[in-house]
Amino acid sequence: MIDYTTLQDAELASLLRDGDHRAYTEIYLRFTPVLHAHAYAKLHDRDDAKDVVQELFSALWVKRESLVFHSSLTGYLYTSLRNRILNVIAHKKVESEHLTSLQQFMNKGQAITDHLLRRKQLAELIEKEVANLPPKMQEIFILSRNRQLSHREIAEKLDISEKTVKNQINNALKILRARLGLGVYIILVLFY
Amino acid sequence: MQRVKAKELLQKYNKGQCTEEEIALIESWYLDFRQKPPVELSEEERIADIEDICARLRSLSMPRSSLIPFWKRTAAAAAILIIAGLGLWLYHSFLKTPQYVVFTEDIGPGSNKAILTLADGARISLTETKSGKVAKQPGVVISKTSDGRLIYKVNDMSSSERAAATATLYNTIETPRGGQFQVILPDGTAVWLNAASKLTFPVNFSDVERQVEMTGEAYFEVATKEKNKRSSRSGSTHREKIPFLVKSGGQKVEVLATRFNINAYADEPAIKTTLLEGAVRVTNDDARRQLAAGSVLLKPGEQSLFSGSLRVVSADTEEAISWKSGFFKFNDEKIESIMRKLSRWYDISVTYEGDVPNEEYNGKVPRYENISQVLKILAKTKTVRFKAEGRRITVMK
Repeated sequence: MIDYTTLQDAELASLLRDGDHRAYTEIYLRFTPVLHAHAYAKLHDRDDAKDVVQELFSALWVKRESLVFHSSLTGYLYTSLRNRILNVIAHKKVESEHLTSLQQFMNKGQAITDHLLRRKQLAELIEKEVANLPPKMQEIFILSRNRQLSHREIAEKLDISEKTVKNQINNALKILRARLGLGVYIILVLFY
Repeated sequence: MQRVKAKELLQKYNKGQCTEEEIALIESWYLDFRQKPPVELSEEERIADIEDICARLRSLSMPRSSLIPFWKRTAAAAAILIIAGLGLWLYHSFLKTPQYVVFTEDIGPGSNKAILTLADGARISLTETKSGKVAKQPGVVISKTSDGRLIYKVNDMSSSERAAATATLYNTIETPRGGQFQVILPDGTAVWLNAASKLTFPVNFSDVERQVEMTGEAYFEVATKEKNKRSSRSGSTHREKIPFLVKSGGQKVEVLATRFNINAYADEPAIKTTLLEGAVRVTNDDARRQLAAGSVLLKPGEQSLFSGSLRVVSADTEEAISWKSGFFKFNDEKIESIMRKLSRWYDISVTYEGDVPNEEYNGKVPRYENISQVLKILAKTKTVRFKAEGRRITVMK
């Protein structure tokens, strides 16, 4: 029994690259609520928010084979979403609130020069939205974040070497992939 | 004035043209700017929007039951729905006929192939010649370099050649399907020819203007050429640039020194001229179609489309010259357009069976792989299938 909700982001990304629809679905379930909430918070328009999230996920599927996650799955999703939102803002004809705000920031704002710090703050900003989500959506996201332990942390917890952890995870992935190729079998996904 | 700066900066950012500091500025502003909407969305509204996105994704190039509606009231209902959904999807994937047919003999990519036709009609295959001197024409020596390019080097003409040179002599380089070639013209202009293309040019460029003709697709890096011009009034001389003109299928492109790509295949709907650097003027040169006679001036990053009348759009320059960089790049491209590109490079014929997929594809695949690799990537979207018999590819839904 494979429970995709227990897979880490990196594992989902790897399966996605192989064209695994269930990995794609799990990514969708995990991230759409916070991404959509963030998009709505920035754009204030339900249609715009839906468009950017839809295009993000559409591109994620179509480009899955050629995607290289320089940072991580979340890094890719969050920066891609931000860039799409900035694109919408840049093309808005009547809106001037954002231009005024940007101009003020250009005059006296404090730019963060460390791009890693900016990336970290972007993740925090987006994940902050989870507090506004309905309980069921909250749970799915929070649980998945709690499970994002690094190999080192898992190794420490289980008192085994990091390499063993890595091998075990890779083996599990191999078995998963092999199973996906075999005949029809039903997967029970528990939804709590 | 102030407003313009902010808008310009945003546009620069979206085009990827910002400096490190400008990027830091925009991204930091983004973190600060506008954190909350005036009214928070309710739970029902959120679910409705997210399911709407799901439905739209499903209707694009997505497999039918892979995105499942969720957040139903009872757990039991949720479990049953999921199993049913997955079951349906699994049935589709595994019990349907295989999505992709394996080639018995794969088809390799194109290579450096071309034929040179001299002024007197003599044809030389550039593919087979070794590097070194290939031919001689009045005023030039033509050689092939060790890396496979053709170079025209200007030579002093002998007196007998000068006497014979009453008319302009032309040479032609033609690439077959599955071929490509690069040539350096007598004035130093570098031209890359894609598959199934032809370039005709004078052996000696005149002082007035440099004019060439082409069909198919070519990328130009035009060298600056100047001449001394004597002002009739003051008697002093100054340097004047000699323009470079490219004629193709009813359009004329006028260039001073620049880098641009022209896509003028007869089986494409419009002639696409994409400017990377410099400035060009594109003119409707077709004597037959003076419906919207006129010309446009292109700036870098712009592209003109000519099909009777001239239109300018902004372009993805990476896509326009991806062929020269060794890739196929597709931006919201339909399958017919993709197959036309593939057929020229792999020298295959394409037929369609049944419904033609209506999807728009995005992606980047290397050009120097066998065709099976490219088709495999397309087939993985599960919106199209291919069958290969020798050099004939059939496209199906």
